[in-house]
Amino acid sequence: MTKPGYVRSAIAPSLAGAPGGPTQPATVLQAEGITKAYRNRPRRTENLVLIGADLSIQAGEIVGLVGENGSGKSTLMKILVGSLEGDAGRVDMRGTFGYCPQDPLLYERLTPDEHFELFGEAYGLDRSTIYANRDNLYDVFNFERYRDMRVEELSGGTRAKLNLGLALLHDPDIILLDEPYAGFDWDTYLRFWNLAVERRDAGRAVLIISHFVVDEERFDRVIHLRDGKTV
Amino acid sequence: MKGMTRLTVGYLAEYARRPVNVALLVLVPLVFVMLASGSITDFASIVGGIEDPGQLAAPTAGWAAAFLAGVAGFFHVLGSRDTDRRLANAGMGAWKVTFARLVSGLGLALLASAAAIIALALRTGLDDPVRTIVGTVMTAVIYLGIGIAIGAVIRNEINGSLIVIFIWMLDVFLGPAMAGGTVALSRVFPSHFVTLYILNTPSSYAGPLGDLGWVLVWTVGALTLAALIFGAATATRRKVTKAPTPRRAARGRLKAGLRYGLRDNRRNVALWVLLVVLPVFFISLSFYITPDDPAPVELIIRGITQIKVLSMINVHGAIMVPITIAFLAGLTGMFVVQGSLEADARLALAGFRPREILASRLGVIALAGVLTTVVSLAVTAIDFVPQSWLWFAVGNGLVAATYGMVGVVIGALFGRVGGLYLMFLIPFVDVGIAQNIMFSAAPPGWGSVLPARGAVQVLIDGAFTPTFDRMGALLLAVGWLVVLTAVGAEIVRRIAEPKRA
Repeated sequence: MTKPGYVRSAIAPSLAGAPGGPTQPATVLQAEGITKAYRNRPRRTENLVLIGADLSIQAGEIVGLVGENGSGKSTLMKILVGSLEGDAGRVDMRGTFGYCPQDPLLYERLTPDEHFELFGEAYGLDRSTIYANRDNLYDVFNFERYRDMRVEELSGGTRAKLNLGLALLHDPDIILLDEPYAGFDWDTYLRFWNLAVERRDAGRAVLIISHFVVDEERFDRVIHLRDGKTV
Repeated sequence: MKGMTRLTVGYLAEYARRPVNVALLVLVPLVFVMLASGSITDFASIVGGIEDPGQLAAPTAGWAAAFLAGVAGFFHVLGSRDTDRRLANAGMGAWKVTFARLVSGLGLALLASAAAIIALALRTGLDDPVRTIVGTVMTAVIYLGIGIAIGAVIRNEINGSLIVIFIWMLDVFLGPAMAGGTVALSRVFPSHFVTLYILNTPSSYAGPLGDLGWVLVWTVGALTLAALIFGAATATRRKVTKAPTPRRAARGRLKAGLRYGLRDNRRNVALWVLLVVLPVFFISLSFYITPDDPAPVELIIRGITQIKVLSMINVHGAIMVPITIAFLAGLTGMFVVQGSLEADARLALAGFRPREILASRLGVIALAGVLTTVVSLAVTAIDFVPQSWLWFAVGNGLVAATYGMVGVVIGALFGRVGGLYLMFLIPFVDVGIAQNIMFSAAPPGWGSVLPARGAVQVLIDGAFTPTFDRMGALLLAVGWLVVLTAVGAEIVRRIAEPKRA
């Protein structure tokens, strides 16, 4: 169900290319006027989280989305990817996307190998691409030795690696990451940033949610979410 | 001390903030004691237990409170086990956390006991108020301890809740008020002595402790055991695991979804063990404990309705099959869908269609239903041969499918804890009472609006008549199944479907 005034489309031809000419990167994700309130019916309370938030991401940039706890960062991310319905607003997305949620949403009794195969089917990848990309992600994040262990047996850090790996498996045009490096050790954190820069240089757009930007210079742009709006 | 009080209040508030939990904690005893106690008395009388309804009414309050306290204790601990451990490691200390959990759990047990006693007072009055109240509260506390101990050890919610319920059923139905009055083994069951205490029927085997002494041993022992197990689990740090050395078609996704859905659930070995063990236990037991009394049953044979006098052993055995199947299929339906809800929603965002996810989940539920039905029929075959295996199997299969979908719907509407209470209550009321032909020749009229009516009539026809004369009942059962499947499918679709224009 889509509420009046709220539109979401996977491909928006109007965004393709920009009037500025070939040198100006294309906008791959644009959100306008996103509004969301959480209502508690028994107690008749309403928590207005987003009040007309706007967002625009171009291909080939790494953007940080920061804000205080409870500022609505994860809510905005969920609305962008379509796991939560906004009350109003519009989201236009051009190309494929990969989403890494804050809480790893995984199947407790499946192994990392089985997760990659399952999500590879979901992304429509052929078997050889799944295997090649999976092995590359194992290599980058150094968790191949856990490939046959069930998720319920994995440490929090390895779950986080798998969570991120599932978002990157199909090399998406837009990468949406909600606090992806929580639980990473320093080495993995650096490996993550190398990969993010590599994908950015290959023309992908990366949006990363964080409580605070510790390495501000790593981002091309930082968007602040304050009082329900992006500034 | 202040910190512990705050923590205890916090735990109670955490529970109370899901209003459905509190409502069911009160409603289930009301329904159990007020609605089911008549049938329980009939059942006890049939299986050789206490026949006086007035005498048997009092323990029903204890049983209801025990069931609720056990399940509440289990989920009270399970849902926040890691957080409790974190709190203990953060400086609160394991014993303080344990104490707060036990005290808040006692609050829940008291609430369940109060509701059960009020229901009993409204229905029959309290002949011996002190004995009934003390006995009911102690029964609830014993089961609270059992629930907490299981919740501290078993991580999986379906396995743990099934174990709690399994212990409860074994205890109640083999207890001194029911079939096990003369079974020596039943003396070691949790509520054996407290039931005797409530009934005011002294045993001759309590020894120097006396019956009340054993009740106190069980009550204090269960709480102490729960505290030790929960405390040890809370104090232990999380075990660090050591490391051992172009778009495909929808068919591909469907196959992958089903394959990995089955694999995910197949690895829950305890679930499959329970799906096999419970039918073996319940169905075999019903054949062995039932006296060979005459049981008049209304049947349709070659279009003519007639009353036939059958053996109560066969009637009880035959009706126990769908009761067991409904109970297990309902719980499986609920937990299979609820257990992977969030990961399924993510899979849908990645490209799976909601209908493909639905098909894979229904595949798992169907497989569990088939397994339960086949095991139940195989166990039945040891003691009883239906007149028509085909229609007996069809009726039971329809019960499995119907209750699998009831579980999906109830789980989506009430969540896991509320759903578990209801998935115990609904099959019990529907198949165990409203469709049961043990108490009178025909099931009660009000049962015709419940989901199992058609399917149970089909299987009763298959069990006791050589010809099939229940086409109307078959259509009714199929109708229920179609409607429930449609509702369940829509619920899963709504959960899994990305919110896109």
